[in-house]
Amino acid sequence: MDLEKLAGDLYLSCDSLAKMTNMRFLRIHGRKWGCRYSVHLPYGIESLPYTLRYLEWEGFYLKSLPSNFCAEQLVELHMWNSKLKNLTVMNIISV
Amino acid sequence: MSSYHSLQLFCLTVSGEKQPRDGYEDLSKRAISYCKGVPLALKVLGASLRKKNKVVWECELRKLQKIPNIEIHNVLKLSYDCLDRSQKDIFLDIVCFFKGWERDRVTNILEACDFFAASGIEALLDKSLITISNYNHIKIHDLIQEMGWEIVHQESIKDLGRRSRLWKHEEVHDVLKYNKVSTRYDGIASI
Repeated sequence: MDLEKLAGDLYLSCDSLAKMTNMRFLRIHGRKWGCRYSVHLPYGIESLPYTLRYLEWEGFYLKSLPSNFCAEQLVELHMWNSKLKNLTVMNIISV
Repeated sequence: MSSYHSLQLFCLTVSGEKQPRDGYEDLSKRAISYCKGVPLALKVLGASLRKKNKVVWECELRKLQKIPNIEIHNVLKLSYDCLDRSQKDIFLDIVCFFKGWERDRVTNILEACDFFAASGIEALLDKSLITISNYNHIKIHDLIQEMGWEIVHQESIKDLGRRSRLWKHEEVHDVLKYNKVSTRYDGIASI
């Protein structure tokens, strides 16, 4: 999803991504230095699919990924402009 | 094929002349721009527009922006049909997400998906479904990419939630916004 093309803030439920149990690739990207609108997670994020191999989420504003997220299978993690503080993920390329 | 030769081949197929008919110059240019220099596409599209008036040309060319020409699609798809299950997944992932990405990086990601990517990408190269640039980036012809997109569309024409991959910004947005979430998704991104 291209953040630059958002016409308004997008609010996700906490389980919307967890439900995608086969998801291997998630890319939410946009300008490197801030977009007008963003993807919001007002109720946090319950979990991420353990099948995920590539995660890119620009402007991810939560301070941590779900504690139950299994990152062992992750090949690349890109969290540009994120507020992530607590990361215990291996193979991090860029945060 | 160059634009010059594309136009000649297209016009020969449409009318037997090397030049567009009067009043069809712009329409012909739009038609050949869709074909991206592929002789098969030029001939198929040219034949389908033979003896058709301007209104039909205009309508068909507008339609091509949304729906690929079925005859061209079916011929290009023959190469896809010869792939095994894992190679098909690799092809569709490249079509939807990895066009222009560095080959080794894509191989790493897809290997982690258990897709046997190193040999799978070779198979796609052998079938000329993709090429590799001098800088080791994966290239894919626009018409081949369109064929791949159409295969994903065909998984479910109306219901986005039943497709395996989403890449158009508007579609990703709608699925997330309206919570049309499916367990089917392999990937979400936008081009």
